[in-house]
Formats: sequence, C-alpha cells, structure tokens
Amino acid sequence: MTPDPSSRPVAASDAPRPTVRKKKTGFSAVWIIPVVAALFGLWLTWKYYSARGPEVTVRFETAEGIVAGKTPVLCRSVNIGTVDKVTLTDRLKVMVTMQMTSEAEDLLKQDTQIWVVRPRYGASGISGLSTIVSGNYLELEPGLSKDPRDHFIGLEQPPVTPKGVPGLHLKFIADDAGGVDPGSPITYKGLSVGKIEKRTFLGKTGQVEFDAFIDVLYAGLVHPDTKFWNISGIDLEVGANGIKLRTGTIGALLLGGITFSEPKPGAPESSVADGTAFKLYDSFEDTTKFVMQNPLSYLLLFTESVRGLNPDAPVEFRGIRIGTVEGASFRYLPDDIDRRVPVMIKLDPDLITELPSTGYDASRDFIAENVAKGLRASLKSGNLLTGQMFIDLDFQKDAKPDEVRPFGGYVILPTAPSGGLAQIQEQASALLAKLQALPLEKTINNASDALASIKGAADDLKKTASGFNDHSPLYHDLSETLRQLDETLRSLRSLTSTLDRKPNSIIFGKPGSVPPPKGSNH
Amino acid sequence: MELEHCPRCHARLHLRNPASLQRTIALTFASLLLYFPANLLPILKVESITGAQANTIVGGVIQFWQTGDYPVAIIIFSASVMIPVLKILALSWLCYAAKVGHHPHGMTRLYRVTELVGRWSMVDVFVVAILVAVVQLGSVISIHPGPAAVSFASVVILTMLAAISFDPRLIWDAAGEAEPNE
Repeated sequence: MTPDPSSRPVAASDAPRPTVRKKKTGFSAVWIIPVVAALFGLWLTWKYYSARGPEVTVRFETAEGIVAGKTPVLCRSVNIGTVDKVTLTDRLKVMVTMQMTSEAEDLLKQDTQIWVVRPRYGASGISGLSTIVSGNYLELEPGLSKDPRDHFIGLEQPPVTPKGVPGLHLKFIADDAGGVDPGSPITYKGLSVGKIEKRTFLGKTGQVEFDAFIDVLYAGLVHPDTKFWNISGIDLEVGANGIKLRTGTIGALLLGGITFSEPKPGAPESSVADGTAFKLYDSFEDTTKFVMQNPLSYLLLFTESVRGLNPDAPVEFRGIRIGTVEGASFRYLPDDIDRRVPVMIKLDPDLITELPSTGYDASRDFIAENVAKGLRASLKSGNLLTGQMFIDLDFQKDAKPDEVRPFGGYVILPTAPSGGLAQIQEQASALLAKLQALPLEKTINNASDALASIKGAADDLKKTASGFNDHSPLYHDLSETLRQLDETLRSLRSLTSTLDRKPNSIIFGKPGSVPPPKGSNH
Repeated sequence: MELEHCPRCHARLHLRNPASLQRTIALTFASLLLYFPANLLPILKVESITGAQANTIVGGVIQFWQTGDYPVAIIIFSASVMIPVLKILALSWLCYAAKVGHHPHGMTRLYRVTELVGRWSMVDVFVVAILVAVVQLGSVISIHPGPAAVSFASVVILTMLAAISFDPRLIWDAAGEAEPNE
C-alpha cells in the first residue's frame, strides 16, 4: 500500500477509537459448506450406486479363465457388468457373483443365458479367438421372458443360435445320438436350414434329446407330420427290399446332420409351435416304417424255416404292405407235434382302406371273415440274393377250411405252405428224399449180377472164337465152303453177264454150246 | 461478538478470528461427511484389455498388504486413511477444548501438528492425478479417477481449511474463563 503523502501516520493514541458494533451472533454462512459437502457426497454415492445394477450369481462347472474383479460380462460386446467374486460351493460347483450395471437389469430374465467365451473349436467352426488376447469373458444372451431372475445356471457350451433370432425352436427325441452334435446342420434338400443347439441325455427313458433351431425362412417347411431323420455317417441296409446305401453331404458325414421330409402334397398349411417335440428317426428307412395306431396282433405258426425273416420285415397282401413282423422265437409247445415256429405279426387295419366298418373289433371280424374265405399267411422270399423273407397274406384256392383261433392269449392266423423259392426248395428236398428212399443198393447188386452174367456170355463167345483157328476141321470146312461159294458166285456173275448180253440165252443156252434153232427170224 | 472497523481503511478488525469455531466445526463436519464416499467408492478405475477394475483406497491397501508390499501399504494406509481420521478427531477435540478449555498447552501442540500434517494426506490424490495423466494408452490400459478421488481431495482440503480457520487463542480464552471456576 502506498502511504498517502497528505496524511501522516496516525499515532495509536490519536487514532479515533474503532467503532464497535454489536453484531448478532447468528448462524455463520460457513455452514453452507457442510450442507454442500453432504449434498455432494450424497450425489456421488447415488451416482455410483445407481450405475450399479443388480448382483447376480451364475453357477458353472469350472471357473476356467474367470477372474474375480476383472472378467467382464458382455452382451453383444457391450460391457454390462463385472465378475465380483468366484467361490466354490459345497457341491464343488463354481459360483460366480457378477455386479451388473443398471442397464443390464432388463436383460436378466428367466430364460437369459450366460456362458463363458473362450477359444473353442466345434462343429460350427472356431470361435472366441479374441479371448486369447483379452482373456475370457462372460457372454449374456438376454431372455424373452418377463420374469426377472438373479440366479442363473451357466451354459458350458455357448448356444448355437442367439435367443432373439427369429425362427423355430424344436426338440428331437432319438434313441441314439448317432453322431449328431450341437452345431450339426439341419438340411433340407441339401440346404442348411438350421442347427442343432443342444444335446441332452434323458436318463429316465434312455433317449437323447436335441434342441434344434430352424431359420425363420424355412420354418414353414416343418409340419406336424414332418419326419426328421439322421443323415450322419453312411447308412447301409440289407433288407427284404435289397441293398441300400445312403449318405449325406460330406459335412453331414463329418459333423452329423439331420434332414426332414417334404410336406405331403396337398397337406394343409399348418405351422408348428415353438418347442414342439419330434421323433428323430435313425435313418430314412425308419421314417417309412409303420407307426400303427391300433395294431392287430396275430400269431403265425410255420413248419418251415423262418431263416431270413427279421423283425420289421413287411407283411404284405399281394404286394401291398399292411403290417410288420414283430419277431419270431421258438417256444416249445408240448401239444404241438409239428414243432411249429411261432411268428408274431402286427396288422394295421388303417392301411386297409374303405373297410365296411372301422374299429378294433370290426377289423378283427373282417380278418376272421376273410380267413374263413381262404386268407392264409405264407412265408415268401423277398430277395433271392440276401435271402430276406416276408410274410404274404393271400387267398389260397385249395386251402383247407380253417379259421382264426385263440391260443394262449394270442390269435392264430392259419398259415399255408409257401410258394416261390421256398416251395421249390421244399419240392427239391422232397425229391431228394425220394431219391434217397430209392433201393439203390439192391439196384447196384442187381446191376453187378447182370454184369457178371454178361461177363460169362463174353467168355463163352471168346471160347467159341478160339475154335476158329486154321488147323481146326471147322476152319477147313468153312474155307472149303467159302471157296465153293466163291466159285458159285463167279459162275453166277458170268451167268448174269451172259444174260445181260443175250437175255435169250436162258432159253437157247450159251452160243456155241447149244445151236440155236434154225430158220425163224434171220 | 464484537465487530470493529479501522477508521482509516475501514477494514474489519477482530480480536479473534470471526466465527472461527463455527467455521472449524462446519468444515470438519463437511469433511467427515465426505470421508464416507471417499473410502467407500472406488478411487481408481483401471481399464485394460483384460477387463476393468475399480479399487477403493482400503482395497488398494489390502491388495498391497497381500502382495507383501508392507511399506507401501503402511504409507498409503497412514496417509490416506489414518491421517484424515486423526485430523477430523483432532479438530473435533480442539473445538471441544475451545469451548471447555482443558489442557491449553497440549491442545496448542495438537493444533500445530494437525496443521503441519494436513498436506501429506494429499499423497493419494497426487498418485491418482499422476497415474491418470501418465497411463493413457488407449485400449491397452487406461486409468480414470473414481468418484472417491474428488471426495478424498475435498476431505483433505476441508480439513486443511478447518485447521486454518481454527483460532488456537480460543483454547486459551476458554482456559482463562475456566480457571477462575477451578
């Protein structure tokens, strides 16, 4: 401060007394500071905690690559949370506690899926390569359900298709997984239309369940009566219908695959609801097998060999399949003298169209009626090469009158001897039996006797011939006779030549020897 | 309270710092309020390609302790946790002493120490400031201050202001008033 020249410093004593005013001791303005501090602190806390969403737990089999406080939770590559804690449960599962952001709250629904993204090689290719650098992370696929959830069971395998992708989710039930894995394609006429997402083993029934996804473009191809079958690997079948080799694409060979049938022409447009379960057939052949609604069981008793008659062999009526062979097994029946082999068959009355009346009893009556008219079952060879047999039902003209009979809880349908190859075989064997029954030994003995007598005759002949040597009187006589005969013949020749020249010589004699009579025609 | 003005420059004249005690109490209280977010919220957010990580002061101390860096843990703990607490406690005690007037000698020494030690609490804030400024490598690793950093800085500044605004003569005043009664 520059001192004012006009005013000298004032001595303390000279200085006027400072005016003293009493001020009300009120509230100091400084109290604004703690108020502001409180507000600021509250705001910070609120801001921090409002950015924090719910805390959720996920159960995994292993915590491989999950680091507490580091591993992020991503949804479509957007960070929506962090793993907070990784603990081991008493059942040796891994419990991962995640701190989600507030935006993630709407994503945590009942059907939300969470899995660990790590480098994988699977049916659908290589995935998660970026995690080699960045470390593993948890991927969250939001659910469509409305009910919230805060405890999840993590997926060990990432779902093949995201939840939100439009399409059809189906379930397949198969007896055998048959090389179909998650990621295996579902093809339709060679086009990939979907994928298998999950494979689970149903312990109760011993079957395998697949979760599958069909792209929305092709969802319309699936009808309630669509049949799905496995095209994994090579399907070689030798049956009554010959040898069949069936393979899918190379991809399907390697990865397994499923395909399905075309909708039947004229089938009504009917869609399939999400989550519908279909039976997955092992092969295309299986799809053509009968699924009988109310089958009629009959027992056939055959005296012939049933070799080549396999279960599932067809039962045909004049070439039209109306049933299936259930199986054949020999059961010792003390009453049965013929030791006939029982074969169980199932007929599907639904395949016999335009029956006079339908229903189980009506169908049974219909069969019984026709049996009375001569309907018989017989074994026929379906394939000469493989020897597969089938059951043929047909009317036999010369059938003995018979009828269906109940027998020990079964119904016996009368059988007839088989025609075709089996019949030929039977006749041939009958012929052989006859041949065998011939008195062959006796015949041979007779023949040898005959040969012996022939030999005797030959000996005699030899003896006779040995009599003709040049010293025997017979030989001499014979040669003499022959000489005379020769002479006679010679004279006979001269006679004939004379006769040729002069036919009248027979009357007038040889010229010279007898003079011809004079004077007639000279 | 008496309020006087200088006749020459009309500046306010006080026998004692005006509203000293009230200011100190208010600032101490404010720093106490902010002490909670400063310790409960993360002070540092580390974002690297391996994920994001947020640490509180105590979390950091525990981490250093667990990894065996005991000296660092002790330094951070004393500078960032203990000193602010002790300062707030000391200021409160001083305010109480200014009213009651116990042990004026000891209290004055306490005041000196409090004033001296105050700035060292800023170690944490300095560390955060330096890290945030230096470690910015884009997507590889980057460090951001957490909400606690501001709170913590506020706590330290408020305690320092509180210590400055405290008038130690009040202790003697109170002691003088109290003595005749004894």
